[in-house]
Amino acid sequence: MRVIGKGVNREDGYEKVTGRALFADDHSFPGMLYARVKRSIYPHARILEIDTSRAKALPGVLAVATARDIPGMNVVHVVIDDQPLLADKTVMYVGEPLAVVAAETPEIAEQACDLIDVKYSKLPAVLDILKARGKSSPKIYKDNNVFAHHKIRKGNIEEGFKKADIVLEQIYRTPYQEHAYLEPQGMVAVPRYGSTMEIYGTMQCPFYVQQAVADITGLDLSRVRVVQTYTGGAFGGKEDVPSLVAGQAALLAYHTQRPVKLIYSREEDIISMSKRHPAWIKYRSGVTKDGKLTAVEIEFLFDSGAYSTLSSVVLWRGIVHSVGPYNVPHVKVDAYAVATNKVPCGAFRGFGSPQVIFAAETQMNELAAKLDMDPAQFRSINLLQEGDLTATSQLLDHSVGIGDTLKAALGSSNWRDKRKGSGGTDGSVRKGIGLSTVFYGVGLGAGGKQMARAGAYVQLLRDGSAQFAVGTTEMGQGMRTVLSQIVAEQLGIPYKKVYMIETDTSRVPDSGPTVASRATVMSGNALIKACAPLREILLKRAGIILGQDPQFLIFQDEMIHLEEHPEIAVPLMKVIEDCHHHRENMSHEGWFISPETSWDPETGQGKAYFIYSWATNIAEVEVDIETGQVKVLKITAAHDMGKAINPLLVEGQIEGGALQGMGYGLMEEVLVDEGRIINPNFSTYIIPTVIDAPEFQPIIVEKPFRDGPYGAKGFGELPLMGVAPAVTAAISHALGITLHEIPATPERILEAIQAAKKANLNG
Amino acid sequence: MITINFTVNGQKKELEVKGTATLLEILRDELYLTGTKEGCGKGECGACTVIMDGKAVNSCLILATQADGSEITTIEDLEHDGALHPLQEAFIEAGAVQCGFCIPGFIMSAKAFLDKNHYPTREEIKMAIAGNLCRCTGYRKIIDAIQLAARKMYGEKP
Amino acid sequence: MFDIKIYKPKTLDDALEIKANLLNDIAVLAGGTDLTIRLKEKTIIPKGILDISGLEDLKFVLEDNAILNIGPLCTHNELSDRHTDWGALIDSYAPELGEGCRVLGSPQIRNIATIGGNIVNSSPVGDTIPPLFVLGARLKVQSLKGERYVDIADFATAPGKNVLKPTELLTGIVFEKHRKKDRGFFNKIGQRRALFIAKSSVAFKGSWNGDIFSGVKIALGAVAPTVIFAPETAAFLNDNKLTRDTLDQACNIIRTEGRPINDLRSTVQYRRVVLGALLKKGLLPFLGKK
Repeated sequence: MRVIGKGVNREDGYEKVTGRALFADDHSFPGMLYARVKRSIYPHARILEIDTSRAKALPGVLAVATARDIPGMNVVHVVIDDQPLLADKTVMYVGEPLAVVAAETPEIAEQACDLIDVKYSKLPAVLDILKARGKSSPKIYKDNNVFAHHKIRKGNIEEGFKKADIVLEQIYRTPYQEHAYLEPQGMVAVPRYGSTMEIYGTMQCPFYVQQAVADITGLDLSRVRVVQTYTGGAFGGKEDVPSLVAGQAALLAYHTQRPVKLIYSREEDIISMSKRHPAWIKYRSGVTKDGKLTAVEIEFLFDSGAYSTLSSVVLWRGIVHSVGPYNVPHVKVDAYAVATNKVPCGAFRGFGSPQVIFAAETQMNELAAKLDMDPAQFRSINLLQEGDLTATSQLLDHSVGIGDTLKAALGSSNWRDKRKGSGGTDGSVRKGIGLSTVFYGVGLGAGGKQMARAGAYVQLLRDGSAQFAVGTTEMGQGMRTVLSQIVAEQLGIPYKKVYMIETDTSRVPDSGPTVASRATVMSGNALIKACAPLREILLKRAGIILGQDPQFLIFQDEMIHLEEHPEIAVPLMKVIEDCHHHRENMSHEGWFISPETSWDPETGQGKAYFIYSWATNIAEVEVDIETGQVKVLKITAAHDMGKAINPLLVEGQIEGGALQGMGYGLMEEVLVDEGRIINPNFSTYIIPTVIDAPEFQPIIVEKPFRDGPYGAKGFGELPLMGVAPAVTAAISHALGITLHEIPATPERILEAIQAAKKANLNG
Repeated sequence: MITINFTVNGQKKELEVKGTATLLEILRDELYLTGTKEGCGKGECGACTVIMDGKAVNSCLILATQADGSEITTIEDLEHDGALHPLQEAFIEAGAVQCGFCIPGFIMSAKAFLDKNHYPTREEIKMAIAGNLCRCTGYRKIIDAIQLAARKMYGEKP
Repeated sequence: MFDIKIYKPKTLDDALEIKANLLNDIAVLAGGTDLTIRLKEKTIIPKGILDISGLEDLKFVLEDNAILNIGPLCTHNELSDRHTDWGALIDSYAPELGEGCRVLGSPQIRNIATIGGNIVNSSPVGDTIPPLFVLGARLKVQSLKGERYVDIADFATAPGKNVLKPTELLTGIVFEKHRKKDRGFFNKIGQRRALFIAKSSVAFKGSWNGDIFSGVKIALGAVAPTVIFAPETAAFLNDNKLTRDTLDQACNIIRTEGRPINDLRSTVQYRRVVLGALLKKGLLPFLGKK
């Protein structure tokens, strides 16, 4: 292959290194106004009055809108329609939008927000997920504060534990994680042609935004056009919540009939936008003395916040991944998404899986210790293989690369030697090494089946260049580049001659969201389908020119030639010109529907996802026992993504995801006091700097997926998912302690050392 | 309002701005140099880094009065006559770019640094970009890119 | 943001005159890295800004026999870059201060933020302040009516509060240079390894004769409303042979000094524990070293 599998330069590299790439805030339109949002200061309160008269009277203010000024529906649709665009009767969390203002300058808009008087009557708030389901708790969602309950029932759980020689039960806790994309949320709404609305902004899912804007303005979907701008990071944080931002801007544009720009400040963004769900997890595993898992029983709660948003689907991915990539005959899982008066949680790289993976992998490491077995060996005994059934009884018939990733990572990291050489007596510093093995269900799965399709459009122009459009988005992950490579390979033209039109809802049909690591598989396949008729036309024309049967012709080096006789050839460029000359249709569409999935909600059994990607992470750390500080020395991460269409980008995904996972495991934590986020900026919400970053050893394993483009599976989320438990396992190995809560801050590590000392004294 | 005179990317400018206007606001809103980004507004992320009188600074923390009389270089001044600066080339070639929002800031920090240190070690590079946050790359390829750029510009250490 | 009047004096006298006339209604801009944030957050809304950032009169490092005199408008980078004359002087004669300047904020912040700004902000987490405590720095403070000197330890009274009068400006930072046997260090710890605010910090200075320190001074950051001395630890180490045992004892004593609080950065317990670790990290290299 010419382009597939090559680490070609990013398609959008030039625009990004020159500062020419226009992100949301870099767009301006004539007559543009600036918007600001008035937000709730209480976690739960009845709204008695919103007085906007003083704000409206301020010179330079063009519009002030509350829930009553919404022409369409006051709903931001995600799964269950419980979330309003602007709070009407009650506020449900600190930071919930109440009113929006458009003014000539951002300063005036901000001043006007300060002039809006809101009278509240405070209500008791639900803040603790462990109490929220109790009888005495105030009710904020139905009669039990539960948005969703999912379960798995496989085999017979009592039977499974009877067969176990060792049973381990632990409680685990994981924190909020903030996406900390560098570009904050932002949208510009532009009313056009008297009755339409265009939206430009930073987002993952233009079709969600289109729906939200149509719902709010009352316009038909056909009159709402959404164009994605360069998007400065997303990680799930620009999946559903940009609908809020766009709805707010569009509402004001609707009323003023002028373009309205709304850019969130970092504080506003952290306070009001989605996060990774904090979790409480009770995990019980049974294992025989020779190391076979017999049963796993899990109960877990996700702190969903005030509205259901994506919680139900996040929870669903959580249960499917909760057992890990292991062969377990008896499984019982019950999971609940619990309503609280806090910021709504949603999508974040891994989507409900990193929480349960932290528990599952820590459980595996501690079971190995109880068995006095190397954790890698313990895994090899239990890892899923081709022909095995997952916890949802899905038969894995091909592309199961977990064993290969384990082998590659163990070898590359010199695991065996380093595992023996833990501890150390060099002053206060101790060394350790730990691992995790994880899997990831690619695409929306049975939980999001209706949206599992994608469209594409390809046009081959007379100068030999091609442009294409898809419904999925580039947010930094490299989709533009990978899809351009696929089109170049398909059409036989140079990679540099391919251009992707910015994602725009008017170019292709609704292709679902850009989430779940699905863009390469879904849009890649749709593009291959769109290229097929073009290839056929090119071969047909080349056949006529060469006087040969097209079925014996192939594309190579910008030529089309007879497969057996390369000297019988015609330049591709000449064929393209000929096609245009003969009025061939050189633009085509492709439509791809994902392979089938299935699910029984009563038993939690079925083909949850059409394919899985696999990974092994090995972390090496140094811990200072006097300060509790951890230095991660190296992360070795071996990933099976079917086919690395661009290995350079794959490495970038592995490294960046691993550092996010390390941050999750060690330092990142959104702190909430009485429902209020108290660290809403980058000086208090701490993400890793370059000094904190370890050495990375990314390893690519390719077990082709038969329905993937060139064998590729999606994997963008996988690099983050298992890193936290690998790091905490390494810390545990270094210190001989156990950690059941992340982030493993120095404070928690010193506490764990103290606790271990006490236990030793007592024991 | 105050009047400031300064040089931006080699061009002399005289502007009348609010007393509380920041250099970032002046560059983006008055001069339309939108390559410099605002990620936090508090000097914590480095996306707004520009070079002022030879030094990397957070333009979001510089008030107009401080920029008065200074010489400013932004990302827009690095590409000349269609030729990319070696740092820009290196960021593309090393795969150091993902979402790209932080990249102008990283390149400006790196430029101020390489202008003074032609043969840096990886540790020195890390110290020079410790005030720039990236959430996509894990930083390794950014360090690679700066090292590659140093070699493109100054060759191996004599 | 709102508009505001800018006063940009050309000389120190002009600056003092503006201060004398406008008193409390004016905010002083030195490097501006904190002031700009406060203006944005509207935690202060002054009537005017006195921009002294261009006053060359207040940018100097002077060596006068045993004394170093630092201008408050020197940036942290100018005082810590060993490749420059000033940075080299500080590195030789006040290395703990050089270290404080080196680990504050980020490279971009250190290029702009000034030592005078760090002092006048009077935060318990200011990284130059514990080093100035152990150096016994005196602050030269001027108004139109004259000048006075304030001990660094008497300067800050509470977070963000100090004894500077509305008419006064900080115009010099004066301390004795290290003598040949003097040793000093500054260590801080935070949630990550760069670009962080201290959970706890320790500055140390003493005269080392091969196994005993004399003239010991220790100051602590982030464990009280202002930077404070650790007198008991200093007294214990003073003229006491440094051994693994006495070092361990000193670490235990230092953990009892200070009045840390629980906040979003750390806990009381942790802040106390790491005071010992930070002291130990600085003193361990002296064990068994003649």
